[in-house]
Amino acid sequence: MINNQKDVLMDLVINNKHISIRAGGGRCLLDFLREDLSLMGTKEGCGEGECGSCTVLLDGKAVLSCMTPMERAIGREVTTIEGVGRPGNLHPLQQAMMEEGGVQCGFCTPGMIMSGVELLNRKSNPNRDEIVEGISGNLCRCTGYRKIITAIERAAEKMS
Amino acid sequence: MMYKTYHVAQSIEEALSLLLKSVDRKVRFIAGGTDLMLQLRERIVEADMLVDISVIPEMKQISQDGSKISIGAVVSYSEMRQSDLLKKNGFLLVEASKLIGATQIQNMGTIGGNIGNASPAGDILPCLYALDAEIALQSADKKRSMPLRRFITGYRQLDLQPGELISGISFEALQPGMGSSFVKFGARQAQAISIVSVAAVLQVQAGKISRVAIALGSVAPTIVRSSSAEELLLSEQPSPDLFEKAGEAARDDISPIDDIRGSAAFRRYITQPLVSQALETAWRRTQKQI
Repeated sequence: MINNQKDVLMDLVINNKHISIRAGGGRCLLDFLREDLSLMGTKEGCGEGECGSCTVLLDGKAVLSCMTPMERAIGREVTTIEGVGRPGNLHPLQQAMMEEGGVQCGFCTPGMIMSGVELLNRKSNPNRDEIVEGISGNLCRCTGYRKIITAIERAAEKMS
Repeated sequence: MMYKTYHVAQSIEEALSLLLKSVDRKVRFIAGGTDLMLQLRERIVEADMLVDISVIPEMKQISQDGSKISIGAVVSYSEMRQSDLLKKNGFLLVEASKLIGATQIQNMGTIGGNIGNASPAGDILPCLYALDAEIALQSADKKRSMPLRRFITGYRQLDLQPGELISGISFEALQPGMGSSFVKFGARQAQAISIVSVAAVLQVQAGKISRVAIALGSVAPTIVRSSSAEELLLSEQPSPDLFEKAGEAARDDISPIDDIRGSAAFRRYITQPLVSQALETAWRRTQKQI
């Protein structure tokens, strides 16, 4: 749903960087991130709050960007997968996902990592049940979750 | 575009005045957005203006005044599941909050949104019915409150007047000797919309059940209180056998339908063990004062 009117001033912190740009309002945060900021890491899966692919952090809390009005992010802090780590400077969870084989097709991975990062920020040493609960809002159709869970355990060990 | 303009209200007065100033336009309040954004996208709901009420401080609090516990309308499920006040005085709300959606939905969704959406599958609602909760409503010129059971008048129907806002909900704190529980049956543990849900509050004094409330979700156009089961239990000595009979009795009070999640026959079937389970858990907790 494109809005070319540029009627909203989007002034916020995204991935630790302050931005202030005019954009067409009335859309979800996911569309703003992808269409206006070209942050393509955040994915649209179901578009109805079931799959978690579009998970980003809003003021540190995991939210679904497909169900968040873009204007809600004004004056706040958004973290996407691009802000979690970059090649050469990966987050321990990104590194562990690679090492443990937690990635197959990769479509769920950004959302999965955002949920994992939020969990690790909340709980430094989550047990297996807490990990399963922490990523229960993220669907993966390839891995069977086991290697993702192991990767989060591994990342927690590294971070402690 | 799903809406034209967006305003973040800083107070209830500001939210209400934005609503009043916009009589000729379609205005909707937005809290968590987990239902509304979907409805806007699918064009089930149309809005020119969204008024964001999710950061209004006075609607974001869980507080206690004497024996009364109040929860602001935009308190999220995450906030409820972490609330010490609710863990002590209304544990079933904590239990239900943990079973709604998953982390992301719990961070976004609010108690007022669950009420305003008025779906019979809203998991907070059976808990509030079992607690005999009162809803607080506010408009520019008056405040009123009423039992939630009267406010929800039918399937997704509310007794909400034009210009009115759901500001919060309150209930009597559970007392020593009372226990509560919420159970739901869904397709899986997370992200599941209830096929049947049950909330129970139980008080045992001198070995007899002195107070009981049983509310069921997803079995009728609205949440229903099972008066048949409650009558059967009152003044009796609690036991697993009795709870099984109460589950049977609850089947008389429901009118389930067939839908994509389950058949009416299955809902009727599963109601009995769920009621029995909810009562047993609540009974166990009467000893622990939660």
